[in-house]
Amino acid sequence: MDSFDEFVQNSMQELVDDTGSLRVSPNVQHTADYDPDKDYAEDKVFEVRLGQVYLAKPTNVEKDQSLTKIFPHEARLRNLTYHAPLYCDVQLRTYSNPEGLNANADLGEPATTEAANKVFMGYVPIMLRSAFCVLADKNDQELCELGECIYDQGGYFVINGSEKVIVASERMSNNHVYAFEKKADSKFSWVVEVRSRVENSTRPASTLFIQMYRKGGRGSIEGNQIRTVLPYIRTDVPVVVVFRALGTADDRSIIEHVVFDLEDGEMMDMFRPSLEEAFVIQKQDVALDFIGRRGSAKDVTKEDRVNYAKGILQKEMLPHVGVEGGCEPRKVYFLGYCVHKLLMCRLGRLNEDDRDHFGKKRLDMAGPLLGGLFRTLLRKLTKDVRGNLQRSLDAGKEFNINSAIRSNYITSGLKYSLATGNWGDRGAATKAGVSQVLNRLAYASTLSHLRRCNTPLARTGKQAKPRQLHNTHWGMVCPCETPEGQTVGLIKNLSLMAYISTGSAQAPILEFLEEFGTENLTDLSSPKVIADSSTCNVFVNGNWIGIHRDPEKLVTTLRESRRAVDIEAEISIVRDIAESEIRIYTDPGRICRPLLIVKEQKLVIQKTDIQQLQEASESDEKLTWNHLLMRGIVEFVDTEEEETTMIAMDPKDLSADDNYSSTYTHCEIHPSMILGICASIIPFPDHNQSPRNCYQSAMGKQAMGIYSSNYQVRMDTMAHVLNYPQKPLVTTRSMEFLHFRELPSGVNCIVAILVYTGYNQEDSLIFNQSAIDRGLFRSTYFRCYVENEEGSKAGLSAERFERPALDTTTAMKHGDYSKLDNDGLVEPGTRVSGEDILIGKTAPVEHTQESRFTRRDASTSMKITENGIVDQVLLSTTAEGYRFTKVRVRNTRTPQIGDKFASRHGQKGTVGMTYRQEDMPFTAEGVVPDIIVNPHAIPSRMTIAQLVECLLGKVTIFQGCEGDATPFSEVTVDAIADRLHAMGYQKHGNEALYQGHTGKPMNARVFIGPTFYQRLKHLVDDKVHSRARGPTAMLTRQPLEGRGRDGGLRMGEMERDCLITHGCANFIRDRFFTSSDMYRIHLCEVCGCVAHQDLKNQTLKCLSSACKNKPQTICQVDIPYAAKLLFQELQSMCIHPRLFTDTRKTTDEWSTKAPQ
Amino acid sequence: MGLIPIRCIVPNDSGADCAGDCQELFSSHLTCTACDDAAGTCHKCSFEFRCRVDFDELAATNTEEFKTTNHIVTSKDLECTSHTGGQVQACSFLHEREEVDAHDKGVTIVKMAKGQKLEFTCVGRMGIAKEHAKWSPVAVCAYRFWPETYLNHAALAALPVKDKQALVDACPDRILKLDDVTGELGFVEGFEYLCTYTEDLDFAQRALKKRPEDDDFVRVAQGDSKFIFEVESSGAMDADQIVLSALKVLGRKLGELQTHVTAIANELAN
Repeated sequence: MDSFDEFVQNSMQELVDDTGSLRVSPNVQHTADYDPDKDYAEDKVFEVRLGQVYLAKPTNVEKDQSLTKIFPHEARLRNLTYHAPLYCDVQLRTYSNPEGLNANADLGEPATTEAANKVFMGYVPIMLRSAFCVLADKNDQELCELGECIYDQGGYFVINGSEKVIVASERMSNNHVYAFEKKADSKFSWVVEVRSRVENSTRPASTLFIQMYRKGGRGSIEGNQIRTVLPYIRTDVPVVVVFRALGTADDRSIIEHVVFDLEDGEMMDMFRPSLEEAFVIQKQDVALDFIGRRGSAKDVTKEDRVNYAKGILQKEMLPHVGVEGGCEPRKVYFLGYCVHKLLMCRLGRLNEDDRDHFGKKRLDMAGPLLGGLFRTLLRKLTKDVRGNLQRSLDAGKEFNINSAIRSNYITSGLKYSLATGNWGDRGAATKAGVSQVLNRLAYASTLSHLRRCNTPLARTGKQAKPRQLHNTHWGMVCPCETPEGQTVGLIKNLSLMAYISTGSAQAPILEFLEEFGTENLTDLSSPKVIADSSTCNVFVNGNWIGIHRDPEKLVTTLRESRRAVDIEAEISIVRDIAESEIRIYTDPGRICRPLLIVKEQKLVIQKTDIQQLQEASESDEKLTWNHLLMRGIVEFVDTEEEETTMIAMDPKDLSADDNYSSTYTHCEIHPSMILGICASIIPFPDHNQSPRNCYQSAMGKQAMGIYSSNYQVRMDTMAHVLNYPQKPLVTTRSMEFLHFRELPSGVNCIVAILVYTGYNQEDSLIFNQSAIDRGLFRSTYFRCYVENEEGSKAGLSAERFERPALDTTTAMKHGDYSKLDNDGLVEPGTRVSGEDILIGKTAPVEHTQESRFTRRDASTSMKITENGIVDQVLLSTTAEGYRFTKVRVRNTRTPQIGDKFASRHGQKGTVGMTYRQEDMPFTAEGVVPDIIVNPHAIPSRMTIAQLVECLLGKVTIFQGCEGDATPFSEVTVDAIADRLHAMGYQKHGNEALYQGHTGKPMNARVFIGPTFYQRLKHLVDDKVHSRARGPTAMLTRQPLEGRGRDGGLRMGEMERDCLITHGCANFIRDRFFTSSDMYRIHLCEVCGCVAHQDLKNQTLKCLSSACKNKPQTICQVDIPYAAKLLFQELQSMCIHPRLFTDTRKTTDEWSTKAPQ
Repeated sequence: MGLIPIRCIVPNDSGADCAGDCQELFSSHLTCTACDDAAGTCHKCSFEFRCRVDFDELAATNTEEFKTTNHIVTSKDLECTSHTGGQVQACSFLHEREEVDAHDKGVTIVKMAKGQKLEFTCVGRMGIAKEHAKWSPVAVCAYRFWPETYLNHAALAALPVKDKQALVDACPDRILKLDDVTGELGFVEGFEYLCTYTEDLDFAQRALKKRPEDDDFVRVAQGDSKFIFEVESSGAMDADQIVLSALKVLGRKLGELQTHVTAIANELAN
């Protein structure tokens, strides 16, 4: 959300400013309508300049052009887009300077200035609950009145009525120098890469490679030479040549820039081959020519080549260092640094960079993603404006700014990308799946969806590394929550406290550094000072700024001012002592997390602070997060800075006698914060086998519950709501912040782990039917049907909602139309089922004399397999002004055999049997379990936490409190057991049970207690399917596929293999032929052609030239319809298949009788 | 709605009021033969409740404060409109004497606020819990066996007090006690009603025994001659009536079985 605010508040204006102005001079065509007397202003230059942008509150324009405020809930219901209009000040300046077409030339004072204020540029979709959203400053009651859920946290968009999330995408960070060791079969031994990208530019990153060749064969002089790959240059260029081309010509200064320390003989030796290689090129212009020759320009003069090379070095090489003239010395330093790093690696003094290190990853959130999109759209818009301007000027017409700016570009461009997820221009396939429909199955699944993070590409790549959990993921990415299967590890979920930086300007930092004695690189007397052990290289966002002689002091002051929020709190300051570097980052997309600050082995946070946080006393104001940041109590630490800190796991560790460290700098807020949303719902996840937590994280998203407190007024296409949800007895502390108690997704059931009658084998469950009767796990299923009246097409009048009249309407459906009211809609409260018509709609047809039909039916009927009661009907208009309706059907689902349930530990199962209370086992106190789980579900899966949850649950029901199951806390099983024992129950939750059918006591003691169970959305009612006969596909005449179409069940290849091995040939024939696409044709026995069937005369004859008018014998054969199709297809290719029949004598009586 | 327990109060044979259909005033809605009207209901198998609550009407006769709160419609607002053999009403969980002071508001049906009104009639029918749990008058039904106990005084005498105390502490049911004066181990009063037969005691003494084959110090086992039977009513019938009518039904069924068995036996004999 911060990221989106940043986009709206700052980057949008920046982007518009960056677009600058466009200048056009009339280019008059001397065509037929050229009027020599008219003033075409050919000597003038027109400039259009975009100025201040304004974003209004979200509005919507109705069909009648009336402007209304739009609220998110209305947008959802009416399938509108929740967006706000964007306005921009535009100036049209006219200069009488003919030189003016050069974009950068200073034109002096404009001759005339025409300003248009607040020109409408288009609509920008607004993120819900962002600063620009109408909901931003509403309290709970106001939210309620607007039809919003009070627990809804926003962070998504409403596009055409559907909620869209922009999923963060992960990428490598820019401007970082990576060194990689190459495999033995590569030409190179080491490669250094820099993906250089200027901040806020449209240009894709330009990558610079510096490669060191391997030592050649034995005795060869070549080897270990270093070359670079420059953009637009075909071959690699010796690195020394690049140095010379940049103006550092002599060997000595090159060595100084690369090796720094001239005493370092080893490194000098390693660099020598490179110098020797470039020995022939000693001067700058020769070097430039050398580079220019390898560029794309051909057959040009030397001068051109040199200029071309200069341009490439200035603009394309390492653009983040600078693209303006005179930045060459800085580029030399940076290049030297890269080569230095390469040499260090080659000499084994540095290790290879880790590609999967999370500190080198950036997450692109809504802000930067929308920014990129906005930039391309704005460019398209300006291009269009320029074209418009040019055209009207050429024609000598008046130019109107308001009409020249077409709002459509931005409106539809943003909408298209958000609606489809195809990021970028329409047509040009760029990134897909960036925006997704917000998951509304359970509240937790919604939250988790909003914190999802995707890694594009590499999906097919088999290598496991990028999918694995990395050390640096600690506290940033949930270790449990990731999907299984092909995207495992690529789709991640942020941890609870992870925060993504929104980015801030680097200028204040540069100023700060200057002030505190950073020596700028260009001011250095000699690069040799870099080698001094006391100096430290200072980098800002990957760019080498200069050196500092007292890094310790610099870092401390920087850090202190960050802790006081004098500079942005989210800036990261990394002091790498080993490499004597200070790296400062201000860019967006860094993953940070808050940590408690420790000073002198003591937490900075005091008890009073905590009290103030919990409850403000009368004198103090209530502490907020910003106070904590400002007082230096907590700070955001990103993954890279984290590596330079000492973090205590627990405040206790700080004061421990045998303390592990005496130099702690930070302390974890709580170790359970490493978990994500879904994993935070699991009680005692630290007692579970790791994959089980992963399974539960996936399953928690399918659990039914209350997905949103406003579900009654929402019209989701599909929704499950649990009727009597309960908050869990055993909770984690994180749940409080996830509102899991307010919007729970399950029920506390009495669960016995027991073998009983055998109906709970293989992960099935026995349910208490009486409990189900009393409402256990009863849920309601809502489905919404949408229809709108389409506009007029090709001269016909529009569609309309009505009860189709039987006598004038054609193409009526099978269903029951009688439930429709006169307005063509069903009434709320009507019981509907099967193919009943819910929305009656007709479209006009061309009326002809012969036909009595004037209209064609276009009604919507229920899904065949569903039934229910009409819950709510909504009638409204679309953005285009057509009538539009949504009908919601409700259906109560009671648990039954086959429904799926799961505990919170990845233990899922289906109902195998339901027994009434009297048939269930019971304890001496008369407690009857609601669910009986098979004990075999436990040992191999090692979900100890489920047992602990049950035990703690049992304690809590007797003590009337909530159980704390926060992971990594002090709670032990023994402590729980002792509490239970004190309550007069067996320590470990075992009880003597009596058999329900006979009343006999059971031999074993049974583990029984309350466990929180979830009902998953997979219900048998939505799955049961069978078919004897039914619809077939038009083309092949084979049965259709799928339950929704009443299709058949596929008899696949493996099933066929089975039947073949069983040798039941007749059954195979029945399945694959008789019951599928049997087709009867007639053949001429003589020529094998298909016979002509004359239906009028009831005759069959062969019309082939060979048989015509000759005596014929026709026979009848059954072939698959697919075979018939094949024959026809062959015939269309001039291949004529002929079928010859033969009656074979067999001993089988049946077959001798068969031919007739 | 179906889960609200309904009581039918009729005088029983001895003249005292009793809840439950002991006189079989009603017959099950599945087996009722007296129904003749189209709806399939009659006085023999069903009765009607009417409920009509109007918030604004109530507010008019109530205090100002009332208007700002919710009104809860409960089972007490149900009013029986049929005339049957007994007095039919939604059950109250309290004894008549307690009812005056206690604030038993009945079973909540719905909460309503300003401008809302609820009016409905509902049909009560008799049925059995085999069809749906709402017809079950039993909330909890349990039984436990009378314990057979044994104290090995000889062995216990040799046991130090500490170990005896360990035995006392081991049992979660707290059926053992240590005499403060004599230091002798004994059972607490009424322990028969406390036994849940966990195996903790066995485990505890196994640890105290010198050899595993030694005799037990204490033995508490489930007997097979006597048991404690507990029934808790949902309120629809009195607990004693539940047991009595259950026995009656059981007796009838056994009787039927007997006649059928005899009939079949006769058939076979012929």
